[in-house]
Amino acid sequence: MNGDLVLLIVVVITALSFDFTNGFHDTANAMATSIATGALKPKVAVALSAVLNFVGAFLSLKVAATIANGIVDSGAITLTVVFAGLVGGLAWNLITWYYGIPSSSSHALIGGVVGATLLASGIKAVKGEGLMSHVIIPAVLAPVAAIAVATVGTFLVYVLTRQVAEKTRTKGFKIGQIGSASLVSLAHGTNDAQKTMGIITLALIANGTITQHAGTPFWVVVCSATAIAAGTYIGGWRVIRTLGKGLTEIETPQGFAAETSSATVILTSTHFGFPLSTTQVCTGSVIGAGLGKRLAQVRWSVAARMGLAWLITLPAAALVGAVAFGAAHLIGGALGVIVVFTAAVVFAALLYLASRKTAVNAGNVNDEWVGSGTPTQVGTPV
Amino acid sequence: MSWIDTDALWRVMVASLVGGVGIAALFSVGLIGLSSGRTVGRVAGGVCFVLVIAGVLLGVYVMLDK
Repeated sequence: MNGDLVLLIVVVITALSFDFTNGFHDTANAMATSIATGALKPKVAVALSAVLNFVGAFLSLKVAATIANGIVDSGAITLTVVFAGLVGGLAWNLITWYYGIPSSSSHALIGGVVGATLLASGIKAVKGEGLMSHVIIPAVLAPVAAIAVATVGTFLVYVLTRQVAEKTRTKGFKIGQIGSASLVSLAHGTNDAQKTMGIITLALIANGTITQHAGTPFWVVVCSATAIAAGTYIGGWRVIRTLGKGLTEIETPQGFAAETSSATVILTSTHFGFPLSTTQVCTGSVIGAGLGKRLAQVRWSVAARMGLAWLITLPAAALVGAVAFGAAHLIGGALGVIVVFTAAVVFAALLYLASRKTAVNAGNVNDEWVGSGTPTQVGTPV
Repeated sequence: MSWIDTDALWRVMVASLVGGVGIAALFSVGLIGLSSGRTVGRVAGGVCFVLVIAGVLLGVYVMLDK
């Protein structure tokens, strides 16, 4: 087995691992509100979301074999840069999961690639304008748009249905909420699984395994769909808890309005080609659902933690990406990549072990929210 | 301003406000109709739900069309 093949295999495994973390990190986007309101049992919710993510991955197969397109000079993208970028995104996904913070997997990946590229090819290879228009401005606008839609939606929903019998209202909105959450899951599968397919296809082309115009091999589609669905099913309970219980207490009508808002904002942004992060949209929708109901409380300290995490997503992932590239480059060849990969696996294992001390699972995900709201306070109501 | 596609941005804002709020409102009106107990109310409610489903199908179409 030669060095190139080893490198390719490690890149593919890392890409699928990233896809897996993408899945469990983002389960919350679609399902946190349905779990919080009891519209769906926690396990049922993650299973439904997993199936829809899997199906979504097959819906549209116009895969673009790109990574950080328009942000990094495509000539600067080598297999090692892709690998280091993935490690940066992975690390940031795992850290934010540990702290129960919903954060954009796409932005983390872009950060990782930018960091690796900076070290590999210098500042010239990074397009500042692309970074601004693809990441930074959308990151500010996504929550704003979602908050606006969800606030008005929630307000209207409560005003319109104030005469409707409580039983009918709760049951009706439960059904509506499950429907709109399903749409968000489906959209997530089409969007995010395709990114991994694109990365693996890019790696295969770079290695000469397939030609530029060969299209994505079917095994890549199946593996990416499976990885994201498996991740979704594992359920990022820590993030689900923050989004469903931490930001605001959600009732069924609010959950319905929030998910409807998320689905429409995500799909219109897809349609008009203005990329908005699913995670930021969904978080904004939940905040809006809190604002739209009179006297509902939004825990701004929790929202501020998220805002801070979003601010440092790009530089933090970039730092890890750069360090990963530096280390792999310094050691050199396939061995360098294997050493960095091993370090990433050890880091993930340690973080997982640390998370066991304050484990969040299907059983305690809906416990009362206490304290300043980190998952460490789970299960210890005051 | 080349780094911000204001055209697309406005479309997204307007379309998601109209679509998101519209669907939430239609669904609510549907529930009012359904619980009114009168036939005309139920029919009107049914029409609202059909429109909501049409909105969902439009969403799925957008996904497929990407």
